[in-house]
Amino acid sequence: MAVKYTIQGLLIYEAMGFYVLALLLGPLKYRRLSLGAYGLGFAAAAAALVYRGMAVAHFPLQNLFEIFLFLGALAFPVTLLSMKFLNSKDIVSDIVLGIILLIPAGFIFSAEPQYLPPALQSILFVPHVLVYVLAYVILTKAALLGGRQLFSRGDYEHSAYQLVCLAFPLLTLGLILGSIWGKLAWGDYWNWDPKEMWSLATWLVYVGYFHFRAHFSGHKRTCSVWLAAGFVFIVITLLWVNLSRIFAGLHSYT
Amino acid sequence: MKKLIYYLTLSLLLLLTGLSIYGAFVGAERARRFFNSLPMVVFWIFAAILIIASLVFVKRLRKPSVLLMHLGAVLVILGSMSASEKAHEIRRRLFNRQKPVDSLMLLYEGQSGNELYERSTNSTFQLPFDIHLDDFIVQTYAPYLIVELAGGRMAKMPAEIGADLAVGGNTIRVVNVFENFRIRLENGQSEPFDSEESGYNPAVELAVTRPDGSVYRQFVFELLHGHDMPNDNLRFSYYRPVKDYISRVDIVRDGTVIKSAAIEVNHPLHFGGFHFYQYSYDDKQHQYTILRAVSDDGLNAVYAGYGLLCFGVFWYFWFIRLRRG
Repeated sequence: MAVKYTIQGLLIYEAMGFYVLALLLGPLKYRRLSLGAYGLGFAAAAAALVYRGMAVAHFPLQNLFEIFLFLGALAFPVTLLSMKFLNSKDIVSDIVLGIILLIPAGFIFSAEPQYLPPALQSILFVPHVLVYVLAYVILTKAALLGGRQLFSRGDYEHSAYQLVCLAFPLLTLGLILGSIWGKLAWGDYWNWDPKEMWSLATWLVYVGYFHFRAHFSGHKRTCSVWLAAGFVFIVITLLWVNLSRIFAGLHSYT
Repeated sequence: MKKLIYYLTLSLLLLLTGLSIYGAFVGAERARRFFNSLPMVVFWIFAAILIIASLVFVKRLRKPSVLLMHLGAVLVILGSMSASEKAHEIRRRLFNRQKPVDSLMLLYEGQSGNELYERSTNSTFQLPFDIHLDDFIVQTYAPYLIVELAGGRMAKMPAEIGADLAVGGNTIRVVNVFENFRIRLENGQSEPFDSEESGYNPAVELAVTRPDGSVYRQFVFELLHGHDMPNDNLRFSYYRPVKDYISRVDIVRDGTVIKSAAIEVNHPLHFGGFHFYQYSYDDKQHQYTILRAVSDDGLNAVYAGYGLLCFGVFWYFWFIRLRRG
């Protein structure tokens, strides 16, 4: 755990501060003010991203510091999308998610700039990572709703399902773009690399979820457990595979 | 029948998820062998048959969007099987079709060759054309020096002529940069120079001013890290991070150049049923390149499968499920 005494760090902490303010204002019935603070937090996170992009001279999605910064910034757009398309009024869980996602960028992962290795200098780098990051945020939100379904009386399962419907095509596109990129960079569209295997396992969990739900849509709690399992797989794919030496492979630079 | 297909599908998905996790733990090479083993070939054939059976017996899977994604999955499985080593071996035995799945070619600058070496079978194959290496280029990011002080403190400085750095009471200045450092004797004195002969030995010459005002010269080499002078508290390392490596090649048939291309990472050359990749190179002397030739059998089917799968998934989930609310 290390505090970043840099402009980059300041912007991240500013974003976190606004998110916390939004969280405090929410229960006090200052909904508009809460949303405003949330928006300011997004602006600070977006500024941190732009600053990072200028510092490293490429789209900042190379390593876990940049990925988590991006994930933290995405919380607000995902809230807006949910409000517009899913009629969701809940912003609290999204703000909490935003704060949690910014913590690794603010305190855990190093912001030391890295050179882009030859394999990452591809037109597919940004779309591949971007769709994955988007899918992961939306699926995390779906898992949170699934958790609510498990531990409260309301009906959140349908909203969670809609979020998975939104994210699953992105997850599929991410997997396919990664495969095509692997073919261009390394010569194989499937390298059996640990990251690839976990990504496939994650994709299969959601394929299984859709197949299960198609026949047992009434089993809302089981569907929610399935979403929780999907979230665990996402965490493993994003974090454990990259941080553990058990899974050394072609994606070790991320 | 529908119920049987449903339970088989769910079981298959759970099994494949479990096998993927197993594959992640055993490492890429063992996973590759495992997923291409005979039991897994049976598994893949069964999976393809099950998907096709579900399309035949389950009416709601025949909606265009759902049909596309399932047909896409079948194409990916069949295309991958056609691209496998076993499928190449079967074609070799049945049709005497000599096409290696995955092979390497080593070429020196100015040299032509047509021999591929396949590692898995330890055999060589002749291409019906030659590949001529015109030039091999290594591009680097801006070179830099890492200066390490006693106590582990580190500082970074650009490795450009005129760049300087004040650190720990010392002043370090870059006075010369060499691509291919050599030493010659002139008037009984050794003199460093940048050789134009073949070879690769990047180095920088530094002038270091100590806190007491005395100055000494220091040479730092990329290929030999961690240079220091006795009794000095400074230690230097010279880095030139690789940005790209490029093989400029000509495809030659019957003495005529029929194609010229630059092969680099992310930009393979597709020719004669192979994709040629920039695989490796002589990182010490930059004299040769190693190209990797991968057979393109089955690739079109896999990519067509990807297209159908992706199109079907977006169509069904974004334009049917989400619109329904």
